[in-house]
Amino acid sequence: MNESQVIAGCISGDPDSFRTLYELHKRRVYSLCLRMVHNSAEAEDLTQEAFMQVFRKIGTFRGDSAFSTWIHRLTVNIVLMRIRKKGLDQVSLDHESDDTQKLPKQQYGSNDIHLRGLVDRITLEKAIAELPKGYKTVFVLHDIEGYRHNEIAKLIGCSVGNSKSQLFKARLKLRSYLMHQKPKLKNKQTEASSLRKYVSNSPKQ
Amino acid sequence: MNCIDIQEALSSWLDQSLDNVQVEKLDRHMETCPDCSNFFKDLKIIRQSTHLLNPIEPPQKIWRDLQLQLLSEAHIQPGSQESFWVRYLPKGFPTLKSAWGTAILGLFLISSSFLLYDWLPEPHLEPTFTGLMSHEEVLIKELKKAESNYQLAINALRLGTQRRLESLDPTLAQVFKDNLATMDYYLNECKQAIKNSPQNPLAHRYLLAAYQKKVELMQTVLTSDSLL
Repeated sequence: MNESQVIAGCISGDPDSFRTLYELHKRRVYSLCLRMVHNSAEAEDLTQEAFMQVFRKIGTFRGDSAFSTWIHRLTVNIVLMRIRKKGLDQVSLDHESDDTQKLPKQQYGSNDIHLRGLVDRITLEKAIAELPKGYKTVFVLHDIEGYRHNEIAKLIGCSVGNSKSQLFKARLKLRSYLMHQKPKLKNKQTEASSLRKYVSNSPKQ
Repeated sequence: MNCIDIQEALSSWLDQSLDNVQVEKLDRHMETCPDCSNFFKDLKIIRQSTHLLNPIEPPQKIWRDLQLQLLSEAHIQPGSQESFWVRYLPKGFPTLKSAWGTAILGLFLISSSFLLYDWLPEPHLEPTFTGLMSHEEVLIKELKKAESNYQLAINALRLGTQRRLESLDPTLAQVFKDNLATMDYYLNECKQAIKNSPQNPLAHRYLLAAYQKKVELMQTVLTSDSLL
């Protein structure tokens, strides 16, 4: 079935079409919800709500944008509404705080403190989850979901400049969090090399 | 411009929204400022790592709950919802395959039983040292001999079949196991029928047919070439 057939099927109440639509978009919708709220129960609830809205409003889809974009935007709106409702945006999106001034100097990176190599998925997901809600929203929308600043500004009701500033702060925080993970990695490397030495020095049986 | 401003500009540069003059300024600064240079390298690493994040698979219960909600809001009709097999059995379970396999096997068994009834030759009535036996008694004696031969064959094939199943693709192996289990069920039913009426040749014929099918199935398993 092509996309227009699936949409037509959903409008006419065909259960296979609903299933097809769900299977095509479930991962992206759920990932967005989970990364924005970092709570699996909440993310499941939001995913269900998003798809219900899709099925209710599918008759209004006019084809101005790609269908996936339409679903995605709908999902973002639902998630943001939930975040606002629960008062979860702890960092006001309109307020440009000067917390960068308060960051310790080492966060700007001295010569020998920087990330080496790609960050593993689990550590990165954890770091993103640690971000304050306002920073997380902009970071997820921009760096993961690919929205531009003017789109984010419209979605969350702030200025483009504010969106850029929030993104910068999110990246600073992420970097700071990931650099603090480094000592653990260093210890693991030390342990691994100690183990290798032990094995090579052990008498062979 | 201090380093904070530079780093904010570098963050924007990552999104490719600066003009050449600004880019040149930043390059010149990074040549003399290792902090900002490291910061920019780290931003690129974070960005690259972020792009490698995959979409996350949602739990299956979301679809089940969605279906209920779609039904309650009458977006779909109750009669037209997905079949029992897909809804309640785990994904990947070879439901249709095993269902068809069992149905075809069952049909084959029943029809071959009727055919066997017609094909089995009428036994010769021969006097034995134990005296004259009735036609039915002789027939049942012959049928029991055939049953024990089949049992011997099944025992001989059992170990080989088990080993073969272990080497097969798990999905295919499961289909075979299900069909073997179905055959065992029919065998037990036939044996029960014989217990209830031991002098009924028809019950013995059914049992023979079931044994025959089981042996054929075990042979199919042994000659199957879909390996892990």
